Amino acid sequence: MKRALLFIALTAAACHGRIGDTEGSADGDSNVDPSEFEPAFALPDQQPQLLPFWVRLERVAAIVGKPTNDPIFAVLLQNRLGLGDYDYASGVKPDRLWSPTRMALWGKSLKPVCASEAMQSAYPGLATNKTGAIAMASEAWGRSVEASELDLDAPSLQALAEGPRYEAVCLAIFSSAELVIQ
Amino acid sequence: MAVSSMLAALGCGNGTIGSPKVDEEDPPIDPETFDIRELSAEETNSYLEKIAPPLIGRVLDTEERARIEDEAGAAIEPILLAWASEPGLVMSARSLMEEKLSVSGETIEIDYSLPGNLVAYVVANDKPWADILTSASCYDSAGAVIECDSGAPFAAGVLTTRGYLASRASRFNLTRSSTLMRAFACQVYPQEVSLQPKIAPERLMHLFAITDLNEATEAEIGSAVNTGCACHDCHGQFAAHSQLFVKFDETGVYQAAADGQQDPEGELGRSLNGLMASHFEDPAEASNEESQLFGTPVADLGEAGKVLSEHPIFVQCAAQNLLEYTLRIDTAGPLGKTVDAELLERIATSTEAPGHKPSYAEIVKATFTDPGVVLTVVQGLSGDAQ
Repeated sequence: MKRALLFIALTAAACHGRIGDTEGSADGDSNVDPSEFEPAFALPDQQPQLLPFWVRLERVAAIVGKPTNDPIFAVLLQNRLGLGDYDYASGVKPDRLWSPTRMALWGKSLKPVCASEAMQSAYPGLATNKTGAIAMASEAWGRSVEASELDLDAPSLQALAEGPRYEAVCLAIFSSAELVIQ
Repeated sequence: MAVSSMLAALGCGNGTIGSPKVDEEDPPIDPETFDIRELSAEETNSYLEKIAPPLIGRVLDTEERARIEDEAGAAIEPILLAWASEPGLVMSARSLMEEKLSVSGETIEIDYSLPGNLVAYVVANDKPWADILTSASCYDSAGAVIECDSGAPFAAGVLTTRGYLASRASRFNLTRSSTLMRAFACQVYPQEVSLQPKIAPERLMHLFAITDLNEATEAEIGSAVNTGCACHDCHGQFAAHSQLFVKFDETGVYQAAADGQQDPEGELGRSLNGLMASHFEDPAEASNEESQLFGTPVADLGEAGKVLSEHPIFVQCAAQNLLEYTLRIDTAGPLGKTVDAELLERIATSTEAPGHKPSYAEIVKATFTDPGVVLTVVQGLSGDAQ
């Protein structure tokens, strides 16, 4: 199960590098030549940071099609400080580190979402065909996802029963870098 | 024509092998004159999909992607204009300011969410962004008007909430002052004297009047933060700002009788009754909350908030804060240090009109349609891909 999750998560994470690719550009243009323009500021080049918690929550809710106060997000909200949100009155500052502990808590907190009727209704074929996974990934990443971007034929994933397979695909997309990283 | 095509054309036939691609005679792209409508659809999509999540809490939708495909760079401005009414914009503004002020949540005694509530109200109702420093009203979590909680006989938006005042309370009111400057003017100490004139050393208590560290005793140096600067360099300016807070106790409550005098039995910088000591030597001055901000005399913190919100630096700082939050750039330090000063001035100027105070959404639009911002991000994303 964990191996399958990791496999899909990594596949999904690889999509993060798509931005700015020059091949396959619709209009055939390349990008801005860095030598032609003096940048007005420096974009960060350190370790990728998580999006603010409220953004991640909004994105998950939008994928499922439920408001953020829906009970299926209760565990997510209950764990929000562990997931990097802030509460200065309680002395908790925002933390944008995507640590292994936080990844595990993120996945655990999303299990009720993946198991919800709303999710199953919105993406019924997630475990059985690529179309469902493509639909969810496209909604999650805000672009048209190609079938080749998702490897759902991995033996470790195929070995899972339908229920666990559904959860694995669901959690992998929700945990993809393209969804959680700023 | 897309930027890349234009650049390719500029770069044709120049130089010898191994020389830079850019011909010395080719002018660099000038953000003053560059038209963002020249961006390609791909560049436009990369740019907008980068800023959308932290700015409005979602990815680009189908209609927006189709519009980008059709209109390329010309889609940037209308899409940003449409984002002005998004609930996500309210949430990002709130989050930005709560993080900037380090204030949120609540305790039994203090509602630390009032600053965030005010920010949310101002953005949701398209009020002038300056209202966060001038509003006479506070708001509950549902957006209903409530009385502000510091008890001060004047109002200065978030500055006169107990949330701000209590969370930023410290000796000599230094943290309240530095947060005021950092969050709303993007300034650290010492500041340019042309911006913030110093209080004359002879008016300040001896520790802050030292203009040459060679004149300071070891004890005096030991009691201060070691910045390598003479005490008066910073405290000549701190004095003006911290005096505005002299009547607010450490729980954020206004005490009209506060006198700014050092507690003889207390820690340096603390006065009696949970108040903080003034920088001023003369007891009459120490107890008086009148001061000056950026050289303009003010009667109290309420007037100071108004002066600050009307200063050109206020919108420039809002733009810098937006860039910091949306792109995670490190902007610690004065305006112009990390982000190009001309860029910030250009953004602020573009929001100006006689008698008009820009809303948050207008500052967002001005910031993210500025060619310097667009080109820097597109260039950065291009570099990431390579």
